[in-house]
Amino acid sequence: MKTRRSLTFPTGLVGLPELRRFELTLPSREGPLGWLQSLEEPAIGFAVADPFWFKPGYEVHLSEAEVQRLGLGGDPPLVLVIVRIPEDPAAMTANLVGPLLINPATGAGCQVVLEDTSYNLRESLLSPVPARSLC
Amino acid sequence: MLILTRRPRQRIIIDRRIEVTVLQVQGDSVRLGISAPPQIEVHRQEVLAAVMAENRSAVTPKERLGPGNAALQQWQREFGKGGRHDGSP
Repeated sequence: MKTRRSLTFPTGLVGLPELRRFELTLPSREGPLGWLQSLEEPAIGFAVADPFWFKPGYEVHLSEAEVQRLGLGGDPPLVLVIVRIPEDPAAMTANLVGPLLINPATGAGCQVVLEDTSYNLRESLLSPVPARSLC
Repeated sequence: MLILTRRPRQRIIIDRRIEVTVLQVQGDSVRLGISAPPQIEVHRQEVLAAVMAENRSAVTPKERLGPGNAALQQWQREFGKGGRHDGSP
């Protein structure tokens, strides 16, 4: 994918259905966070990240119906999660319940809501390292 | 709000294409079956409400992106690739 990409979310985001057009800036050398900028509301943007980077076992199971609805043909979707960065960046969390799925061929995107998982709405990215590994 | 009373095994049809079946009533729990075309999303209300609230709270001022990346890079330097090293999958 190119570094900057225009995306279209036909149904917007959950709770923000009017936000349909975005510009995605993929992570650069500055770090693992990318940026999803609303093209309709300049004041609205989200930090995004590749969930597999910090949660290697993360799985997004889509039903046949969802695959159809998302128009995902052959190519596997790009999966990103929204990262909330509070004033103290060390407290940032990722939403693993509502990942963003993007069709890399068409730039069409959708926020999927995962039910029946134990994933966190606020998954800490910078959790403290447990004592046993500090030997 | 349209209010209907149903017994187990009775159904409600919405928009002539979405079917809700009352499967079982047990105590204060109702088990519902929902049949709908693939383009129709069905969710528990509280799950959708939680994602909605989280989306709104996740709107971030762009100035925080730099510090956010810096914090993650610092973490990578200290603890290696990835943000977690507690053995969780």
